Amino acid sequence: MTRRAVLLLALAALIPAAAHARGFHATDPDSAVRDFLRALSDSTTDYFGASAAARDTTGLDSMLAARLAGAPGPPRRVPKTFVPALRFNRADAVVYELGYMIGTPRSRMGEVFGSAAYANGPDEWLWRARFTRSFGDPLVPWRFRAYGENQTEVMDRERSGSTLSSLRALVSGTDRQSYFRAAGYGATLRRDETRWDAEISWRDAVHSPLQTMATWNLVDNDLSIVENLQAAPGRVREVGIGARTDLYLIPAEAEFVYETAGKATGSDYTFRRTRAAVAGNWGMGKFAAFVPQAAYGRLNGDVIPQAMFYLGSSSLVRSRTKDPRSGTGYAAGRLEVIGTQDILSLMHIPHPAMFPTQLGAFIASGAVWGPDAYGSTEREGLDWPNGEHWVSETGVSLIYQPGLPDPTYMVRIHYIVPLGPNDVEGRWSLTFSKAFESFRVGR
Amino acid sequence: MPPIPPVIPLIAALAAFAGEAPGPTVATEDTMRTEVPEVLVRAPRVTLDEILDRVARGEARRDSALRDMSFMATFRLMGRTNDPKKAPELLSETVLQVFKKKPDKVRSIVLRQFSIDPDDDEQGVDVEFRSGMDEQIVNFAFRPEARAQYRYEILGREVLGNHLIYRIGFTPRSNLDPSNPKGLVWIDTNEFVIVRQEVGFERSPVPLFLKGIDRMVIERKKYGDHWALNRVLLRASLPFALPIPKIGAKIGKSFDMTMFFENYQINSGLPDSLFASRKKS
Repeated sequence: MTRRAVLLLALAALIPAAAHARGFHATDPDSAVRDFLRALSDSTTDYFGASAAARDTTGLDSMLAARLAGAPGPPRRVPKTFVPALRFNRADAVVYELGYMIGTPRSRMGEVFGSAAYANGPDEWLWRARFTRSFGDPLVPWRFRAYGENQTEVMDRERSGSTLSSLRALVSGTDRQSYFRAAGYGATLRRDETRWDAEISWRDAVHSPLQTMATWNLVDNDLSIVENLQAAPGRVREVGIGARTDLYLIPAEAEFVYETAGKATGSDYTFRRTRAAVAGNWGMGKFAAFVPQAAYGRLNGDVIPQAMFYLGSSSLVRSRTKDPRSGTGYAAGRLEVIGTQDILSLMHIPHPAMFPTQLGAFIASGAVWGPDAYGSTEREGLDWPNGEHWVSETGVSLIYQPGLPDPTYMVRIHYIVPLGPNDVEGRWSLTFSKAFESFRVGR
Repeated sequence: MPPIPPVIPLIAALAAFAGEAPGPTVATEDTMRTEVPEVLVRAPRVTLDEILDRVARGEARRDSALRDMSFMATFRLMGRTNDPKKAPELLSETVLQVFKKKPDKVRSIVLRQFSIDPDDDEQGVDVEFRSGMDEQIVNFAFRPEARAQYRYEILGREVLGNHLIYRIGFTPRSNLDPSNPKGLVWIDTNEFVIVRQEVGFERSPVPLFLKGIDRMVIERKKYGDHWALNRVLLRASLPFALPIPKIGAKIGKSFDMTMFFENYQINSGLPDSLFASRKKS
């Protein structure tokens, strides 16, 4: 063997060892990434300290083997709770309700809720019962709800009787809704997807009108509206479909709701109610968001107040509280800029961290046309209102986003100024609603 | 001159290496010189849009390669995590074994439950797992349907061995929804999967009860050929100690919520019989 051959052999033997000594793992191309991630992970572990400590593994393997062999797991307590509630409106006066809820929507038996309530105005007992079951992927679930009730409902379907409206009515008499009694049952099947939701519903209820029973309030103000609009009495059996979807090309969402009742289903009234809404959310840097909204609706068939569209204290136009209007056609739009930063912090005003306050400004316009349940003469318009029927307003808002029950829910104190040739004065308004106020599906 | 025995060069070579620190000596060739003319390379750099497309495809490919998996999950809640005077205290811990199989089978078995609240010992943390394996907690901002909601920015590139790691930041286009986070992800471009994520919030998502989320980290780890969720760690501050009987003081004004996912067995061929009983164990 020559000296050169021996030297080459020696080098060949040494190179892998040397390479290993320099940390180069020729057989593991992922080691550099692994080391890099481990270093980041170690830093995270240091930050979180005891929270990131490894778990105690004692007994876990034997427990798993036992459980797979059929050993029972820890007992699971079914959640049960009493749900007391106090409501107020001028048709029922004070409503004392006590409910009981058992289970959760995701459990096999679902969630069951039942309540009894006493309305001291008409001196009547009310009740409601509800079964809710959610199944499928928790992120995109199916939801089923069946219910029976003898309850008070709000005439304007786009509104709901919130806790805040109850409080307003009780404290200052600013109860601008009308109410009717609905006794019956219904069911809804709903699908929540990442970019769209859809639901189908059935309702069979006997509707009856209610009279104003409470003309008092805690500060002894005059009531905003004394008369309670009278619902058309009778049985309404209706089918509804609703869908909401993201508009893929722009940061906006659209909603469509169609509800129909007819003699074929045994309903005393025949109508088709269609409503579409669209709302956008454009970021304006980190300080604000531009939120345009528009809605359009039509009612065909029998004109009954509990199926009509309302303008006055509706979600998009709020200034016409002393001149409420209703109709069989509805069109409204609202442009709103909502601040997304805490204005008090920006102004260096000391305040509790739990109360960040935002600013907003808006301009809105809307109209209803067709017969008016409030008794005004019929407003002209077929698919679109005549120009003189539009009412417009502008205003500013102080906004608080508590993050509950939904991240975009807002408590808003508006100061609203009507625009155009009318004699309505500016007014304050307090609302609690989602940013997209024109939407109904899934509310 | 007598002939040199063949073993001498080997000893000499070993001796030469033995006198130095471990590792080879780098020799530099300095006797030859050459110059290469500059060449203008027109090949475009990978654009951000291409990276985002590839990440979406990479995440989808990762998901499609998974048929079944089992892992052990630990959910832990620690209180008083930012109190310089008192040590953090374990408030609750739940350990589960989870089995998933496509298309829609999932089973979780509770192995241990601990709660510092004596009234909570029967219930513990109620955890429900999805049957899906797409790990939306990792890739929520990089799913095709989320592209309209976020702005993205390349913040750095790092070459690690034969891997190129991109750091990409994302911020919500609108801050109207305070629960939409901003964040930073590390993407391994060999497979275009997200390997780590740090998440933050412009403002508190629930200011009434939460002062802010100080830090949130989501980590993946490679198990065999597959990346899978490994840890989620979150530290949150409260505006005040929550008035919850027995445990409010132990939570203090800062708490950690951590989740660990370990002992993965991926594509091991879980039998359908494992999922035969769909009731929660």
